[in-house]
Amino acid sequence: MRRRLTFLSAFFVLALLIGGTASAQQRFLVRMDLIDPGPLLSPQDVVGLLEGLVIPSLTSLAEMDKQGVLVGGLEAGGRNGFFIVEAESNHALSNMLANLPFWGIVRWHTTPLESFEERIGIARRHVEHLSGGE
Amino acid sequence: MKYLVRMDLIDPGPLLSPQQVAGILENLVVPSFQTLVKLEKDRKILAGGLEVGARSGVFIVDAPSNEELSRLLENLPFWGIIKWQVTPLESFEHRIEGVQEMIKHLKAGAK
Repeated sequence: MRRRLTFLSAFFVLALLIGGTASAQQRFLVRMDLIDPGPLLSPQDVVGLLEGLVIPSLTSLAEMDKQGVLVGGLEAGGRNGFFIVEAESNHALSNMLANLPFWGIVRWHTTPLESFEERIGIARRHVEHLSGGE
Repeated sequence: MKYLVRMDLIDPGPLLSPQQVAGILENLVVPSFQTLVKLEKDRKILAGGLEVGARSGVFIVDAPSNEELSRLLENLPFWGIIKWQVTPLESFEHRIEGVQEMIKHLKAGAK
């Protein structure tokens, strides 16, 4: 399991590094909501989910956080989490998320982001345009 | 401590003149974005950005306390025209410890 995680992290880092040289990175906000398991799961089933899917995924995310691939965390006390990640494309982001073991038991929300710097340029152009209209 | 901060620019309504809009952009919005860029460079904001094409944004900020985070946000020139949502975050690593503890309890209960 540890070897698989190391391989996955190495794969993500490599993919992001290659992406960084080949094309501009795009930033995304990712929100993850663990789906409600319902009350019918036995304690053994819950242990299975936690050990087999949740811990390996959190370990993978923690490693990527350490490596600077993403920044994020889990809502304190909640079963939701957020991170901001840079990926080469929508497709690369999809691959990254789908490779997390708990992908199938999480509801995912992804939002493309642009930098504050980029938006300053846009706001200035708006100001110029509005001032020109006087 | 890490926090996710979501900011939604409040709707200015259709009654503002172009000059007033230009004033808001020049005096409140641009200086705030410049401060956010600086905070990002100083690593107080760990990551962030604006939703593409929208008047909302998010960032993850590292602040020593809730109060410090409040001060940081209140010091942004556009503080009064933004609806703020702050979510405290815990690290993935910390949660792994919690989950491992939970597994121990579940296994002990099953015996």
